[in-house]
Amino acid sequence: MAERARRNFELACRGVALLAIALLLWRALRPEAATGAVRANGAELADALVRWTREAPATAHVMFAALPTPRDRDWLAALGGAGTSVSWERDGQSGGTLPALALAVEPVPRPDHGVIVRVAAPPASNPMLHDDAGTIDSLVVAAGGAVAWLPGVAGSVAADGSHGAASDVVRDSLELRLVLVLGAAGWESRFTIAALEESGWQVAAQLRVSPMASVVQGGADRIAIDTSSYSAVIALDSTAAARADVIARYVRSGGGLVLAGQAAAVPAFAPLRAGTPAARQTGIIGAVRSDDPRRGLPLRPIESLRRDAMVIDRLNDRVTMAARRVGAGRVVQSAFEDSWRWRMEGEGGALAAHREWWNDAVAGVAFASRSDRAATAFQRGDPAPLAALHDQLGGPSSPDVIEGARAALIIPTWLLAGLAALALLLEWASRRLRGAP
Amino acid sequence: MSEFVFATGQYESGDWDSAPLVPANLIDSLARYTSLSVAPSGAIVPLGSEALLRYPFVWVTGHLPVRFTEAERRMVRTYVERGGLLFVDDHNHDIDGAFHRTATEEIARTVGPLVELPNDHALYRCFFEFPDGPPSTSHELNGWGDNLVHTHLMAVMHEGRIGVLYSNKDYSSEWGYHPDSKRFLSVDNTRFGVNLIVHALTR
Repeated sequence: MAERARRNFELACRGVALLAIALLLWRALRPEAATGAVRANGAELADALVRWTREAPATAHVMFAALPTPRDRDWLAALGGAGTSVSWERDGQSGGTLPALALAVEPVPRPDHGVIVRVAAPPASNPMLHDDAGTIDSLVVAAGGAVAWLPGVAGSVAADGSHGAASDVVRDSLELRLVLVLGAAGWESRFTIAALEESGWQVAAQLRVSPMASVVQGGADRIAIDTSSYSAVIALDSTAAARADVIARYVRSGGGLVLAGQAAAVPAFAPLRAGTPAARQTGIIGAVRSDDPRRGLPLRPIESLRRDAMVIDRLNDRVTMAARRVGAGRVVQSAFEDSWRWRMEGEGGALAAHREWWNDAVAGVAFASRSDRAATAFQRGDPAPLAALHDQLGGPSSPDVIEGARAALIIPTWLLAGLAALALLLEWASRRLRGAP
Repeated sequence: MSEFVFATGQYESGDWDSAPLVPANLIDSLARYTSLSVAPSGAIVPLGSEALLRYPFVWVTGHLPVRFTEAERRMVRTYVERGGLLFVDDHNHDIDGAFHRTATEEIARTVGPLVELPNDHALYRCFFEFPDGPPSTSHELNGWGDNLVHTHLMAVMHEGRIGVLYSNKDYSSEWGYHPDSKRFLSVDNTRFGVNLIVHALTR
């Protein structure tokens, strides 16, 4: 019995020795090239990429401290395509991923050709925005990301976070069309047109002066209301009701509509509005010259909001602006009347503020046909580098896989050689002690 | 929607109230020809007061020399920048009278030089048609004043719109009668006044 156990022990020692020798031989045939692991994105990764390309290891594992550059990521993907099993994880977090960072830049349908930048990043982070001309500003990211409107950008826009950078370029150009203003002749019509024209919109208008006569501007009485002619329609009062059916069709086909003040109360516009306008409330006397001039304007608060309506603005607890989608188009409803008083009677910046308010209201709904623009800027990175990393290399490696790869890396050659020698020595000693040859 | 209020500008110098019947007459014409919401009586607004900004159309007239105070200059400048339209009519209907010389100087100093308004401007066709430009007044045709028929109105333009409109034609006399007397006219001579206000309310 003891003899049999002794023979089994000798066989086991021989097996361990042969396994160690086989591993040593395998390493000798593919020394260091058999596997690879590097930490971080810097020169170490650059060197490793060159080495792995030359040596074609079976596995390569990268521990990223930050999102890799598109060059490094593409290179790793190419290694993967060539047969190397590439895996990655966040440095210091076994199997962990990196914080997400994404950026989107889109043109805004405004005559000043501004762009809107939307950034997704971890809450409370402060990515830095810059374009090809230099730094623009830092953003404070809330739970839902961050949004910034920029009057214009030079080349590509990038957001630099603590774990990498995302970059995007404006790809579309928008073709704005006329804005149609419908209402009665009056100060609200007049100053709405003025605000829009001063902002750069091309305005057509039909303003009723008497039952038989209107003042027409920009061919408004001849041009059909459709998206090939108009980016938005503004209905200021009940005079627009006669064209409510045409306007509804226009909105459903993608057009934008601003229902201001009294117009929202017109039954003909009921299917389009975001909510029901309440009874008219007068503004606070003198408040139009205060810090918040809107408090001095008469308004019809928006009540009984539709389920698909979204509140855009409130004054105290009253909804003053709401929007909804109708078909392919958008409708924004404003509660304010006589906004011209803001422009005329408000304090210093009232003229610009009134202009901007109308500009925003129209830009929020305006239809603008998009056309691809020839690339005018070199895109320096990816809009969503983490998504691109996942797309090209898959998710971070599971801890088991990593441990396996690590184990292969951790057992040094001298240990394997020693193990083989020890196993052979034990087998030899055992055989000699029992008198075997 | 707020109603249109016909406002007469009151200034410190001169005789700003020299044509007191004009507001009622033009208000009557607006009510006759249009469906605009019009206040039944006019308002008087000091040019140096912030109340000026409540009335985007203001009528100014007089015979005597005009000198704006600093407050009046400041407010008129703001008024024009914000988009108001000041209509200034020379009640003397001449080009060498005290009102004309001083008023044009004061306007130039306050908001910029006056230029001729083309006779094909939208003002002349926004409601009634005036293909030859501003209608002549009986005072011009009778050879009163400077014995000239003024073929153009003058204007200071701001952002492509009329900021100040200036007339030598003496519409203050032409329209200065009780509205009931319109029935004695073969053609209502206040029709151009309607155009003035409709233009202000639409452009």
